Order: sequence, then structure tokens, then C-alpha cells
Amino acid sequence: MTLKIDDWGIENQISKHDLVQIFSKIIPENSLLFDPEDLKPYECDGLSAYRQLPLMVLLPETIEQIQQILRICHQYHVAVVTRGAGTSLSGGALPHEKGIILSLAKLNNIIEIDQDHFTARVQPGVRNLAISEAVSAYGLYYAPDPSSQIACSIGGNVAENAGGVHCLKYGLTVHNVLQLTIITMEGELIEIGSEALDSPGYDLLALMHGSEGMLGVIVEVLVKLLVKPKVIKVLMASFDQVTTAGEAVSKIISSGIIPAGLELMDKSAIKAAEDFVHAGYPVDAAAILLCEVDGSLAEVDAQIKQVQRVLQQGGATDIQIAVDEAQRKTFWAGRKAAFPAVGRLSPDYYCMDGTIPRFQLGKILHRIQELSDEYGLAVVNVFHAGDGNLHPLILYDANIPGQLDQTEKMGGEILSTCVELGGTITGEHGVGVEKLDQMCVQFSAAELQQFLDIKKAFDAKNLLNPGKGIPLLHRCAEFGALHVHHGHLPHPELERF
Amino acid sequence: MSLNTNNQDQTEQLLSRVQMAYRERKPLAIQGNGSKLFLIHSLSGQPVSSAFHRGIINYMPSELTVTVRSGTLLSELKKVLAEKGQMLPFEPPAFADNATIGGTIAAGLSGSSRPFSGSVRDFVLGCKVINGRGELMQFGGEVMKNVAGYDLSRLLTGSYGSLGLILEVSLKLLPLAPKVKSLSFTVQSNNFTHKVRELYMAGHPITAACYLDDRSYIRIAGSAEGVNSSFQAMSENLEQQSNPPEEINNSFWTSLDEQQLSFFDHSQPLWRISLPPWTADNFEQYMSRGDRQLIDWGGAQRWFYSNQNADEIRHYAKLQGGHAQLFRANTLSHDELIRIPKQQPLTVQMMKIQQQIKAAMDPHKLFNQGCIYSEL
Repeated sequence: MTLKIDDWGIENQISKHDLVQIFSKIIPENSLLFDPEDLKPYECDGLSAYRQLPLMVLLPETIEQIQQILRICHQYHVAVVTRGAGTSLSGGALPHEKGIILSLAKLNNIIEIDQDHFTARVQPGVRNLAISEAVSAYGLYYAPDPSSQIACSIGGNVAENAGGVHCLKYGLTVHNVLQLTIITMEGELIEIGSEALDSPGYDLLALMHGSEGMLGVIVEVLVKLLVKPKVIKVLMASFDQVTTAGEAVSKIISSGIIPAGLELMDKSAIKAAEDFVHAGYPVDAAAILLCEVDGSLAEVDAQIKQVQRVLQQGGATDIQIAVDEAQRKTFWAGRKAAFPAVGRLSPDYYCMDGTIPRFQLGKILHRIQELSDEYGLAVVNVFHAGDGNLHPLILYDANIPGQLDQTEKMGGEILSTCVELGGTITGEHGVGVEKLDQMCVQFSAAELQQFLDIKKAFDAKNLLNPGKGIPLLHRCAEFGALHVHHGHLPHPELERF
Repeated sequence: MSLNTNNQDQTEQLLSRVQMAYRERKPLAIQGNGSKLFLIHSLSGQPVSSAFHRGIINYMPSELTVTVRSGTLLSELKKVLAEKGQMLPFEPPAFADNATIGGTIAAGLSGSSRPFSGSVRDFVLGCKVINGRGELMQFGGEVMKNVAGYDLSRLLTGSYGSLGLILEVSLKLLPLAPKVKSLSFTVQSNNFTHKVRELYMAGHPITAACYLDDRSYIRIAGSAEGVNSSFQAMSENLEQQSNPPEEINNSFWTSLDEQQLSFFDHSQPLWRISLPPWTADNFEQYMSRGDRQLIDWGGAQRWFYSNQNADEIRHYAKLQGGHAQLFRANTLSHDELIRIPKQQPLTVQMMKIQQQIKAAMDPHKLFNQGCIYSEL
């Protein structure tokens, strides 16, 4: 694997042995792992192509322990990689070879459910779905629902600003969190945001979302809860052209409807999902759209009728409305199982996460097909169509020498195309270690330097998750020399190595 | 040659203005048309206005996004969106005909829909900005989901120009609801939140809820079928409790957001108290003679006219989990105005981080120094 880690110049000022001695006075023996054998499960996250053993793993149980750990790491210049459930798809929780993994898995309590104010105060290790399950009896739920919601934890959701199927209507994590308690690298406990809907001073709450564990360690999250909709209906439309399906998405939205969910799958995704879960998908269609609307009965009935009309006029070859809750769940089961279903088709797949303005869908799909032909690698497309967020899955076999490198290269080209089309290299999976080169395509040197300055405002020694999220400028100079777009060198102001 | 004053690109002029200030280390007072200046402490430095940097750069109704230069008039933007059946979902108050979208973002104000649809920062997707080093930078974008780099666009929202000069902003839009109805009914202040929450839990598409002088005002929006059916169901529910509602004009909400209701004809200092969602009223015990309150945002925001001591008001807001902003100083003396920060004071640690962020964006404190807190 050709992982290139930026050197942030961190030199530990303490030996591993001494560090173990100090930490063993703070946390119990079984919460401190340093034998290579014990470290193995932490060597990667959801992006398993990249692996690295950390110096050690700490599993604190209290805020005070975390404060002490961070103070020690700060004092001795030890890098800290915070880890939740380890489901990141961009290598955000990949260990640093000279750093510790700070696992928050043991901070997994729901502290308080406040049904009067529609909020829940939870520890960072609480699983996303566990929140909705815990508040369901009160008629409430937590809206963001990334597909890993069974496993992923809320701390990681904040760090990545996780999305999901329902973001178009209900927003991302940043729209559904009121307050965070964080610990700075210096060990200070700070509350960001408040129980109220806004806070005085600068909006650091938004800044923390998607900051990939580089600004502070999240130890508590106050989430906003929504009232469960009275009625939910889902409709499945088939198309004989994937571009017609893409255009239909814009037509639905232009007609004034904001669906709760709007997902598109291409032919290969339909087939993979159907073979796997038998959701009743039309395997001969070029694409399907799943459109969910929710609200009161009268509202949903009116909207479903309107969506149906728009889709019929927009060239849908077939439209099915789920007749009951069981069929609704079946329709979704196919979409939700798309990734594992693709996993059955190919030894390995690489999941991309670009976002484009919706109207560019035809262009990006065309480009992906060209790249697929060029590289000889098949691609399956699932798409959060309402948000313009693409998840092309590139199929490859890691056992074939060089194929992973080719896959990565092709993925990089897809993301660069997203930027060219007015989009971004990552919609919801984060930059991590995976998309550092593409950050050089999307941002100028001044912008990247601004990010690095913001990081320093929180973490002057750059010890929190170094080497993730933001590339160092010399990396971009090296990468830029390889990537010349339209004859223009990115970052002409930088020296080339 | 005709000059279209509604479409002018002043990027170069503004950039060179900031670069000169950076070279000379001379502070700037950045503003649009100044319609929200009453919300901040007085600005020193040479005035720079983005008011002539105008025009809608990219509006794609099917994408639900618009990118607009900061000096564009809010009223003009709203009009263009309305022509395509769309709106700014956070319903920003203008407070003046010449309010700009740049000032709206910089002040971070949201109207009555806020607890139901979201705040101004929730709908900011990206921005183009000049930082305190005179560098032109772009963050975020025109897409709904974007986690590349830190979210500096939302950080700039509500920073009153003290972190950067906003040149352009990209916003997420929503369709105007096909049907909107508003109603009003009698309720005791301490029962207002409970009653609205009950209706909201029942699934009615409430998009605004406030309380004033023993009456509750509620707005619902959605499809004609949905709104009519909810209106009927809510009316029946209220009638059963011998409290029949009356339909009111939807313009009530604009009057509320623009502070044009007669409630706002008072000379005492006006406080905006921000509280947790659905906070029930318990002001009775706290209010002094002559104090007046309007509860908005379903309980999460209070407009409070009072001569009471600022520290007392802030202490009370904090006890409830919120904070208090001195919104209109009105009769406060000059001395008090200098002494009392417009926004609730921050903890020492929080102020330290905010100062470091200010230094990261504007290392020489050139932009709107002291406009929120003297330390920033």
C-alpha cells in the first residue's frame, strides 16, 4: 500500500516504557494496551487498506482520566488519535506510529434524555442508532442516520459531520447537535455551544463538526431530537436511462417537494442488492429512485401524488408505492445492503464519497464510465441523489499486484472531476488520510494554511490526529507537480521538490 | 454605457483595500449598509463597505442553492427567490430596507422559523472571504454536503466581520410552502410551551410559535391538503378545550421578525434571551414592574424589555441553560453601554480559544476590533 504520511515533526520526549509507567497510574491495567498482539485490532479503521500499529491504546472511563492523559501527551509531545467505533471510511482513526490511540469506547452511556426539551445528553461512545432506540418510547428520534448507524458512535459522527439518507430534509450532524463538551490537548474541559439554540461569541460548534479529531477530544454530546413523523411512505421508480433518473431528481425538488430521502441506484447496484436481499427491485431497469416522504397523513398523501405525477412526466417506466410498512422496509433493505451486496461481487471494493451539484449527475456518471473502461475496473453507483452525494464503489482485487494502486488512482480522478464540476472531494466520509492529495486540488495554499492556523489555535503543538484532514503544503507541491490541470500548475507559488 | 448597479464585482478593490490595511497595520471598520450596527460595540478604524459589491452570481432553483455577493440587498435576493417559489429558510430580519445579505450573515440573525427550519448558519454552504492577511479564500461550496477542510463558512456566520470580509456566500434554499396559515388562541403564559409542544407532537406542521399578552400565535405550512387538515384538527382540539382559535394574517410573522409589533414600542433596554428548546415560562417570579416579555421560537427565545441589572438578567438566562444578548440599548446610559458587553461574557478558557481563532484569521486585529467583545 502506498500510503504517504506527512511528517508533522512530532518527536516524543519520553520512551514507551516510561509512558506506560505513567499511564498505568491513571487507568487500570486492562485499559492500557501496549503489546503488539493487543494493538492489532486497532491498526486500522473502516478503511482497512491502510494499517499502522500505534504506540499503545488507552481506554479511559472518565473525563478526569482523559484530561490527565492529554496533559501527559501534551507535556511529552505524544500524538493522540481519538477513536470511537472505528468505522471511518477515510482512515480518520488510523494510528500514528509514535502516538497513542485514545479509545472512547468505554464512554458509552446515555446520560440524560430530556423529553421536555427534545434533547439527549450522551457520551461519545454511544452508538448512533442506540440514541433513537432509547428515545423511541417518547415518540422522538435522532435524525442523522449514516449507513453504519448500528455500529458508529456519536463522537465519531460529530468528528466527521456524518450524514445519511435523510440529510436533505433533516440535515447533517452539525444541524442536530446543540452542545459539545470537549477536552483540549492541554487537558482543559470546555463547553462548546449550549442547551439553547445559539451561543455568544464565535460559532465553534460548527467548526468542531467535521474537524476529524484534530481540534479537541469530544467527551459529551447534547443532541437535538425530532418528533417521529406520523406517516412515512416510500415510492420506487424505475428508469431505462440513469441520466433520466438523475433529471427526475431535480424535477422532484423543483416541484417544491423536499423528500425525507431520495436515493438513486444504477443497474449494477440494483442487481447486486436484489441478488443479496430480494427486495423486489426491477433488475432490468437502468436505474431506480427511492423517494421517501413523511409528515401528517394528508401531507404525505398529497406529496406522494405529486411525486408520482412528476416521475411519470419525467420518464419513469414503472412506479411502485410500498403498500405497507413491511414493504417500505424491504425497499430500503436493498439500498441499505448495497455495500455488503457489492462485497459479494468482488473480493474488494473501494468506496468513494464525492459530492456534485445535482445537475452535473449525467456528466459525472459519464466520466466514471470512461474511467472504468480506461482502468478496466468495474464500478457500482449508489447515490444520495437528493444531496448530490455520490458513492461510486470501485471493484478490485487486492491480491492482484498493482490493482489497489490503480483503484486509488482512478478514485482520485473521480474526485478531481467532482471538484471540476463544482463539487467537493468528500460529502460525508471525511478526508482522513485518504483524500489528502485531493485536498491540494480543492484548496489553494492560502486556504490550506488557514486551516493549519485554525488547528494551531486549538492545538499549538499539532498533537491531535496529526497527518489527517489537512495536507502539509510541501505535500501539495509534490502532488501538484504530478497533476497539471488545463496547463495550470496548482500552487505555482510553492517550491517544487 | 449603462452601469448596472445591482451587479458589480468589487473583489479587486476590496482586496487591495485590505492588503493596504495589512501592509500599514491600520484597522478597518467593515460593514454593509450599517443596518445592524446597533448590535455591536462601536467600530473604530477606517470604514470599508461591501455594499457596492453586488449581484447574484449563481442561482439554480433545481439545486436549491444561490451564490450571492455580500452587498446584494436582502430584499432583492428575497424577491428573486420568491419569483422561483423559493425562500431563505431562516427568515432573516432586515431591520432596514437597505439590509445586505453580507450583513445578514455577519450578524447571524434568524427569524421565527428558526426552531423548526434552522438558523442562518445551518443554511450557509460556503463563502468567499478576505482574511486579515489580505488573502482571498474560498471555503465550503455550493453543494449540500461537504466535509473537506474545516467549516470556516459557518464559523464566519455571526462573527460580525471580525474574522474576515465576506465577499460571497452560498446558501441552501427551500421551496415556499404552497399553503401557509396562522392562528391565534388564548393561553396562559405558563401553559404556552406545553400547548404548542402538544400540537407539535401530534404531527402538525408548525413553522412558528410565539406568545404575547395571553395569546398564542402559531403558523403551519405545507401542502394545501396537509395544512387544511391540520388547521381543522387543531381547531377541533382547541374548541374541545373551550378555546376556539381565530385565523390571523400571515404578515404577523414579518411584523414580529422586523420588530414592528406594538410590543416593540418601548424605551427600556431590549434583551434577547436565548433558552433551550421548549423552555416553559417561569418569568413571573422574576419580572419586575414594567418589564414586558414576548416568547418566541416555541419557548427558546424571549424578547424582554427591562431596566433590571444586566448581570441579573444574564445570571437568570444562564441558570436556564441559555444566554442574554443586549439587543437594543435604548435608554441605557453611555457609561453603561461601554461597561455592558452586548453578548453574554465567555468563560476564561473559551475567550482564550476565541482569541486564538481571531489571531488565526486576523493576526493583526484589523477587522472590527472589539465589536463583539473588547478582547476580540
